[in-house]
Amino acid sequence: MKRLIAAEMRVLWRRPTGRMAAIVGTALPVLVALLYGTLQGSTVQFNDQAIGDMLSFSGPDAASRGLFARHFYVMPLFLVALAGQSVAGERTDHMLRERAVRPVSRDQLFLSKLLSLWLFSTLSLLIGSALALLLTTPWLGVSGPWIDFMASVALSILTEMGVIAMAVMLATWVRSSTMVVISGLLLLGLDGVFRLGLSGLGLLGVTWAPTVHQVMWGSGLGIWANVGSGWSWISAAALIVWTGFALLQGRQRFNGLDLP
Amino acid sequence: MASDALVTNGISRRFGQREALRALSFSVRKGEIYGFLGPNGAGKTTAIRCILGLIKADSGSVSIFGDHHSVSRLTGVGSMVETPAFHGFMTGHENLALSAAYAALEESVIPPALQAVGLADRAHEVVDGYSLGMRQRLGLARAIMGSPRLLILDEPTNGMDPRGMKDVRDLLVGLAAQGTSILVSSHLLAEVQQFCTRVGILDHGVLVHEGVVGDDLESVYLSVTQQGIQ
Repeated sequence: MKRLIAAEMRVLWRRPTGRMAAIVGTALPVLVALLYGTLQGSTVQFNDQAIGDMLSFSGPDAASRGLFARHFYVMPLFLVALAGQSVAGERTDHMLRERAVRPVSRDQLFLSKLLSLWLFSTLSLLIGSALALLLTTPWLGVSGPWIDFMASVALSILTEMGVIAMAVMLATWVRSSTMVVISGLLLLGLDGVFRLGLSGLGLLGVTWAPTVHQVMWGSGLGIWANVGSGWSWISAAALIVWTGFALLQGRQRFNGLDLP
Repeated sequence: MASDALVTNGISRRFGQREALRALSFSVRKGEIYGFLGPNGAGKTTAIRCILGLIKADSGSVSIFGDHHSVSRLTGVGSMVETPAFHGFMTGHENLALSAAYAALEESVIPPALQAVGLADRAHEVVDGYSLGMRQRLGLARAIMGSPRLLILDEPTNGMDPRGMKDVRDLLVGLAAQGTSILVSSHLLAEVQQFCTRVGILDHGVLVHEGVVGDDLESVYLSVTQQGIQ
């Protein structure tokens, strides 16, 4: 299995989208963290207050902003596109067929795809976060929310698995990576609209609305951002359940696929 | 039988209302080159896909060297289905390394395979720059790497020039002489006649003829297959 994952990692790295995802996913948190650092001591006013006085500055503070930038559509879109290319795209261009004619089970093939994508995103996440910390901590100082940042990074690994699982599941239903991206955006958009509606209902005093809001997929995918405040065990459990559902559904579809 | 490399036993497959294969039974003996003939749409590629587990047969069974298991029976099987697919952004060598990983083969099997199809000097170029004939050769290299016991080839000379076709013929005859069993589908009767030991002719999903290759192959073929154009 290790060899299959290594082989798939190599394909991801050689794929133009994969290389771009690795570079952007690693470099963006670093750049944003450095840009954030430049705001230290800034006298630019916002609401009659200097921006430099409104924000807290330290290595983990800056790296947290970098992490936010990575999650803000950039990496999820890359991961969905990559998962789409790896499954739906390869089904259409017959590359899945070329793997399936070898003595490997569909489960092994499915797992090698899934785990290579996850490892690929995790490596870029860890390298980007570590570099952001290394470059900003000596400059901005060590005193900051280390535990919150570390927890956010750890939860990001889970979140990105959730995104990959969803994308792989969708990729077993459609035949192109473009359709995977479109259907992924539609699904998350729909989830966002529902959550907005549930927030509205919550404000109107509907008691069950906040609980349902917490179990939505999007709430689960956002748990990495709520470590310091707004943490919800329900959302964390929802992420695991939704990810598990996507994996099981994706696996079942994948095992039954004709690979012409 | 113990002397059979591949046995299909009554495999059937339907696509919607269309019956692509009807109770197909045939066998490829060890060390022989079995020609799989038939008009377009006869079911040759569907049969090959069922044998390789790419699509599931609705009924029937397949065994390779006596192994019926859908995964383990593919150990020691090299194949090329229709136009071989590659990652165009990777080199020929990298594409074969990917397949070698899935086949649990060492990468040391790649250079001899590339040498055998005359692609050794182009192995480190990306496949997007290959011609159709070169891709076909690379597909063949992927099929023969690791010296498989059974080779399953679907139209292996597609897109090749006469020189390439002769090279493939010589390669297959050489492999068979070393004991490799080969199932090869083709439209080209003359080609099949030159190097196959036995043939099976498929028409509308049914095996309509099976026998030793003789000089009368064309007349047999025309008599057992239905007229396509009225």
